[in-house]
Amino acid sequence: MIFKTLTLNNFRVFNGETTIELTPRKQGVFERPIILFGGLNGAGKTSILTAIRLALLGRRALGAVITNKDYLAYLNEQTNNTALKLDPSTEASITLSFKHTHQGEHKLYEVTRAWQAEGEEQLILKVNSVEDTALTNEQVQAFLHELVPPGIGDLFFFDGEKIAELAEDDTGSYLKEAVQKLLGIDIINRLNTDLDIYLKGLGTESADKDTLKKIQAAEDEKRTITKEVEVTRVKIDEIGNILTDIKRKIAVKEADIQAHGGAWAETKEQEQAKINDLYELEKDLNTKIRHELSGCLPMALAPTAMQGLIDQLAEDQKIKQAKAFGNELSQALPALQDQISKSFNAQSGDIMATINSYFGQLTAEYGMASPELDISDSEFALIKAQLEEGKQSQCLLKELSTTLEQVQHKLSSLSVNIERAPDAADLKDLYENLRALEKECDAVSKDYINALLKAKTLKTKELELAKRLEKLYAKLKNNHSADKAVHRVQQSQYVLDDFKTALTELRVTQLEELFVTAYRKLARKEDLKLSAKIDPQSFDVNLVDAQGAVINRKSMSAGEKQIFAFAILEALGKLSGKVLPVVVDTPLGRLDSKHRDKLIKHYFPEASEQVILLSTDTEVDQDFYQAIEHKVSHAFEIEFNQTTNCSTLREGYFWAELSKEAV
Amino acid sequence: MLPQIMWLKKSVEDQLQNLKAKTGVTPNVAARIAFFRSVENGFVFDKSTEYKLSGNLKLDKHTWLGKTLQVTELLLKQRYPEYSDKELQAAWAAHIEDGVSTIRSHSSIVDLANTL
Repeated sequence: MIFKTLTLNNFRVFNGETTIELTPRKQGVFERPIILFGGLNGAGKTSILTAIRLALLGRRALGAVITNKDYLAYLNEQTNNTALKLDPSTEASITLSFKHTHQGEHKLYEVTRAWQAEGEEQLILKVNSVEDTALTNEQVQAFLHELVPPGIGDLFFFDGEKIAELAEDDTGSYLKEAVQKLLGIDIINRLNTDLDIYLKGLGTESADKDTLKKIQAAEDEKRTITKEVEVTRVKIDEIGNILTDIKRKIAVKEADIQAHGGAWAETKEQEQAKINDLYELEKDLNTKIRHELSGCLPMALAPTAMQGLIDQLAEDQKIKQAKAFGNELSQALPALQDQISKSFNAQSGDIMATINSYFGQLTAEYGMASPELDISDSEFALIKAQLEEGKQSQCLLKELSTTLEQVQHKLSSLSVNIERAPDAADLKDLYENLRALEKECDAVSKDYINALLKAKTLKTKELELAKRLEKLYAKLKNNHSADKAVHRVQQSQYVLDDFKTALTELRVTQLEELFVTAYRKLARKEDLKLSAKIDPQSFDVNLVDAQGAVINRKSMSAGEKQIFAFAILEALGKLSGKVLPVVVDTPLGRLDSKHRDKLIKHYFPEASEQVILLSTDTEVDQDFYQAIEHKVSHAFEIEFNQTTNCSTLREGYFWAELSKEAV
Repeated sequence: MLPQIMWLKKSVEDQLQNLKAKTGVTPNVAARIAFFRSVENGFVFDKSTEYKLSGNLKLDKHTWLGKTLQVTELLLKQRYPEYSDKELQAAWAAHIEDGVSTIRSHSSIVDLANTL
């Protein structure tokens, strides 16, 4: 990369537009890489360095972490005050044009940064004078970072005094990024990052991790549940045993109660009630039987005697009738005899004799007899009725006695039952025990059922989990091919890491050698025995003396530190192979004459194809100027006008004639 | 006719009381049963034999005989037509003594009823 021109518009001390020609001019076949700027303090040397840094690095020129707001505020501060006084909305800009070989083509690039008060920065990139409008500010900046990595920018465009910080830095942060960029380690890092991005894009790793996490969770849950199931099962067994025990006890108790006539006891009260009923019935029957016995029944007990009596009575009855008839007849006969004698004169005697003989015969049969038992007809009828009643009563008695017999039989059997039945008090304890046991049995049964239900629920859960796990495993299997890719990428990353380590070590070794060479070139004679040791991890550079002891850099002087830093820069520049211009502000700073001499003679002329030195008249004085004159392409003097508070550029150095001669 | 107040031989009376204790059947009712059974069995009283009525239970004949009063008198008259009242009472008491011998051993009313 070679800077061609730098145009400053209302930037810092430069009012209006100032274009600086930076292309190194050739003197025949000799390259003259140095472009020398001379200026007193405050003239605007640092403005030029700042402009170059700003143009290429943008926000990163200010530091690693700068917010957009701070950056814009900084830009606004850089606007020329005189111009701002005239117009508060003055636009300020920096344009840097440079030649660069990008992707095998020599191209002319032009970067313009422009800003106004309270406005956003505009960044324009022109390639071969054609503006690339497709690119956004960020994309342009990214392209510029590709050309000049921010870490490297600090190493090529720097303030000679401030670069001493590099030597003092023992955190390695100054060098780390630069070294990584320069050595191409950042490419490995980026590859690594890209692989990570690829992995994320693939989404498998995270998905797998997710699946694995889920599987882990499911497995854990399943294990817990399985454990719970086990516990529940043990509990169920325990409860089952208890339940069996209780049931056995109940059976024993029941048998015990049975042995005590429990079955009878249960019905005892009923039996008692039945017995009471039966007693009532028995009593009733007894009364009825006695009633029957006290009636006409006894007559029925003597049927033959009774028949004899009835016969006798009937006979008596006949006798009485015959006697009554005879009486009637004997009273009626005289009247009949008169009637007949009147009607039948002749035959009246015969008729009367016939009648008399007939009735005489009739009455004679009972006439002599007299009734033994004299009772009336109604009494006779009553006796007959009584006899009949007695017979019926006898039948009734048979029924009653049969019934009574049955009742008594029942009573006796019931009595036996009651006799068998134990006293309620005797059984009370047994029954209470039994009831307590049954209660316990109920409670335990409930527990048992609950436990069973719980076990069932858990088992269902376990099954569900198993199904889910199966699905997850299937998913994992599907992910297996992607998994392979992940595996390979990871392998690649490991290889890259190894490569990076190896490369860093190699590069660091090379850097050490280059550093030593550069340092020896710049150092005084007494320093020649020193060597360098760079930590491949922290990139901390340490000087080691001839005895192998590490020199504490803090004990070094400012000048020594500057030399140390220049050596590192040269070594790095050489190692990187990057061709970048070197811009050094205050190049000689506090160096002593010996160091200055070495720097002027050995560093600046060889530092790069283009070396821009921003010097005061005390640094590059006439002696030094002569010493490097043959390498100076051209020079500028920056003049500060106190009245306008602005600077102007004039070609030539403090010693105009010399400059003119040189041109 | 039988006299208005009648009583039995002491031993018969005791037997009847005994029977009452066992079966709950009162002596008068038991006596009726015993009388009819005796008549039916064909027992005949002979007034020439000494028959002393020594019992304490003196009841009127309606109580003793109840509904069977007329039949009892007729039966006695039929058998012993020429007996005096006193002789008829002795005959009655003798018939009861004869009849009770078959029922006195009954231990319960069912037992008794079953034989009737």
